[in-house]
Amino acid sequence: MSKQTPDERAKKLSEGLDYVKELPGFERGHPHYFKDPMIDHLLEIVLQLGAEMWIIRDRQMVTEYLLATEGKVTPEMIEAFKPTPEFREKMKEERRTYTRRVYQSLYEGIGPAGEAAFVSGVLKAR
Amino acid sequence: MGHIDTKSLLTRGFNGNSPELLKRADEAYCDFVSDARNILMYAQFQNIGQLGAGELDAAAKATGNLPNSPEAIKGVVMKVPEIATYFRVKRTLQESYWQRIAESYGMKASEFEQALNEADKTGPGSVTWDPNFVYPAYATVDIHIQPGGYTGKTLGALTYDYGTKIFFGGAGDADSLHHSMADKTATPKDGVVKRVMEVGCSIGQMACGLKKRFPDAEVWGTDIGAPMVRYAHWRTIQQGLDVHYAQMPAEDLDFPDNHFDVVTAHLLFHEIPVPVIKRVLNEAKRVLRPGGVFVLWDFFSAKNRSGGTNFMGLMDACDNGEPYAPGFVTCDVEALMEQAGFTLRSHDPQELGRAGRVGDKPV
Repeated sequence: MSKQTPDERAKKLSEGLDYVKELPGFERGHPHYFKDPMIDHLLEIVLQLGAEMWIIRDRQMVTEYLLATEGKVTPEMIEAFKPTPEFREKMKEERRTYTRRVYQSLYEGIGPAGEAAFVSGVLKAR
Repeated sequence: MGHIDTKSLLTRGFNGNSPELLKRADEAYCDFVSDARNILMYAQFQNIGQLGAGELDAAAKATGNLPNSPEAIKGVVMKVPEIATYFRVKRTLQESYWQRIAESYGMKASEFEQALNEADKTGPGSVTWDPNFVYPAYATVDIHIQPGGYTGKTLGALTYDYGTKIFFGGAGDADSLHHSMADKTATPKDGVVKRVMEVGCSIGQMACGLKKRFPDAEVWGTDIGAPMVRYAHWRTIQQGLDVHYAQMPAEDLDFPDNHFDVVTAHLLFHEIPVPVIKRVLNEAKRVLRPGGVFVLWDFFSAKNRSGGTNFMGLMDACDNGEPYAPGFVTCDVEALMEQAGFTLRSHDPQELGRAGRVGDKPV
């Protein structure tokens, strides 16, 4: 390892970098985006409720699957459940349909959505 | 506490190469967040970028000045409800998954820490880190607004692992993005690859991909963050791969001159300030042997981006823990590579995942 003391090394690594503390984003902050912060809070609540609702739907789908295939279900079976590729795909499709249906009004009026994928949405953006 | 057995630690097994979250409900929550990001963010990226750039152009025409400070930009664009909605959704989903993942693994925090302690002393491969390391301030940012960032929490890398699975919206599952880039990584023109290093290796996904591609080479992963290299080593052991990890700043490597055939940096440069980028390039040049190659995978430059993409990038810098990204995309990194002494083989790929920027150290 380095022969410098930890403090000496940190000092060397920090040379000329005092300015970074002033950069936007250096501090995480607590931004809000609407003039009335309550709208930010309500959107946060709506997203959290959407996630919690999906957790219940997910559990219901797993429960029904286990009952249909195993004839019984326990909390331990639900936790240990590993879906088949086909069932995983079915759940994904259900989840995406649900998400689009619940939140479709958010971006009405700004044109058709692009492909819902990180690679095409961001990495190839021009 | 006795020996930590991976099977008893990870009661729900693995998800690809990443530990599965400890409760079904946590996995379902993160599945929702991942799809919500795809549908409510990535699918709207172009629309919101163009809308924001249009608002900024209109403001510039009206006032004669293009808003350039974050406050001024937000003052203009956030009047549009869809833009404000996009960034509210983005921030909330980002905060949500970090919190949920940390809570899930946190149920067994002491067991995970014990597993890392045990892995420190076992192989295949190795890890070295300094418990007394003092981090420079630039490396203490909550990158991607992950609480603690890459350096601040012992289990931060474990959280980061599942978090990046969500960040990539499923595109990087089972380390597929990293391994595809490892497969495309340029090699020295003489074809000799005996020692390979990834600097800023985080959790070792790329390093493992390089080891799979070059099984006979000595592969190293270095990172300034002790949590990263320790967890990378544990994660690599689970895959049975022989990779060496070390806590080292990429700009101050404890390796001799002319030591490596290939040095690569994957998504590191947009997470460090420009003065550090210059130091890293000089250090990479030093540790590469004549004829060795430096491969840089990172965002494309601002000059090759649309106004909308640059607007989105600036917002990401401000509110998504990316303070150094604007410096990187505007720094002309190709020129910096040449100033460091590399001969450029390829330039800005303009598409991450297609090709990297490649520099040869002259023979």
